Amino acid sequence: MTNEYRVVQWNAHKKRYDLILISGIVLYLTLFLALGKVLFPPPAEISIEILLIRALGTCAIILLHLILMVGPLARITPKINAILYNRRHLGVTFFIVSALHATIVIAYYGGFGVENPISAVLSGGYRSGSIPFEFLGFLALLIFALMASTSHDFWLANLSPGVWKLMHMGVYIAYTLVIGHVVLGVIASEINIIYLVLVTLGAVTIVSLHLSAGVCEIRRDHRMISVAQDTHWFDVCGVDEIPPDRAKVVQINTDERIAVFKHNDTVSAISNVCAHQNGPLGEGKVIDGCVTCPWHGYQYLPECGQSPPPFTEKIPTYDIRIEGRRVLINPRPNEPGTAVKPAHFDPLPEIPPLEPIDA
Amino acid sequence: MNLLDIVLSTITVYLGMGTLIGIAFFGKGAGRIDPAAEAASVGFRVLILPGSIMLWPIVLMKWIRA
Repeated sequence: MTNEYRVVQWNAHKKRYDLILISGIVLYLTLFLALGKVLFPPPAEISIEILLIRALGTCAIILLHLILMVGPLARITPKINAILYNRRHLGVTFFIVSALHATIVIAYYGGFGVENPISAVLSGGYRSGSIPFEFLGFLALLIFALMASTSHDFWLANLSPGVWKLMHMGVYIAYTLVIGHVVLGVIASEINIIYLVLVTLGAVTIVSLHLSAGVCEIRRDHRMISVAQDTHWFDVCGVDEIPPDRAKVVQINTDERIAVFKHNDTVSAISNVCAHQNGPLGEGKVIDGCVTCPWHGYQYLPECGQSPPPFTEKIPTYDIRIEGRRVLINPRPNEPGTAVKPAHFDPLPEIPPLEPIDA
Repeated sequence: MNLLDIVLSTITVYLGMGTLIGIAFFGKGAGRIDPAAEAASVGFRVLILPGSIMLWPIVLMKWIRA
């Protein structure tokens, strides 16, 4: 959140996540190298440099698939939000692994700097006569470098969220280049066909997940509340339909989605769109009195849509009232950061436990 | 001069300019375009340096307008 920039916005959750991520990568690389040595004993042994290139390359591809799967999976089930919350660290880690893969390739095939790596890649790769699959990997790495180097919130704030998001959608172009890099690489090097099978399975999974997430979104949109335009207040749900400290997301006509949060016997309505990266606020929860975005933890006070001081982010609020136990909303958004008194409701009386019936 | 040499020279000039502007931006520019970066740590400035080098035309434009 915008106040004073820090190098990395770590908290206990993110540190645990990063520790699991790094341990997983180290374990994968170790297992790959060990299995490579065991499965290919002399005289058919594979050199440690080649094994390392392949270990890092496959590790990077697995991480890239995870990154691309997290987004659509989170649209399908909110259980994935915990990973989505830290996807940026996953992305930067992926770039470091990819860059290590490229560095060892350049060092090993390019005579440790004897040959200019850019010149080698642009002039047809390191092996004359073979398919220049390195060029596709090089282009993909350039896109990933741009994404990793602009991943800090400073760039998001200064390039504007729209430009930043557009730039980071380049991951799909880079992914296509990576697929081409692997497929042509396998054909050129005649290495195990299993790489081809796995990368095809991965691509099919990514496409299917994105299509499924799209279908889920369309179905949600079809459940929007359609009412006459001349009415100001719309009955959107019952108070008891909203879980405590959570929200129900509603859409009136084709307007922006609204998140109706229930907290401390009151309900408040705010925009469902986080000011940071358009994250789905309605899938987050109220923590310490603040609505917390499930993507990156940006927080807003439900009664005014402002981030708690000293932060300055603001989102639109909506007028809200209660009739009986029904929640009514005026779908005309207030200016971002406008205070709206939360609507109070009486909690349901607690039902005493039933007395056991004596036989 | 063949096409490869032209491409390599262009990349070298672009990155060279980026390095110069990036280093200047590292010191003073970041705080000028964004007040939240004014008192930020050296670690933060190092972190935004690669982005400044890669996007130096945008960085320079924003810096001039600030």
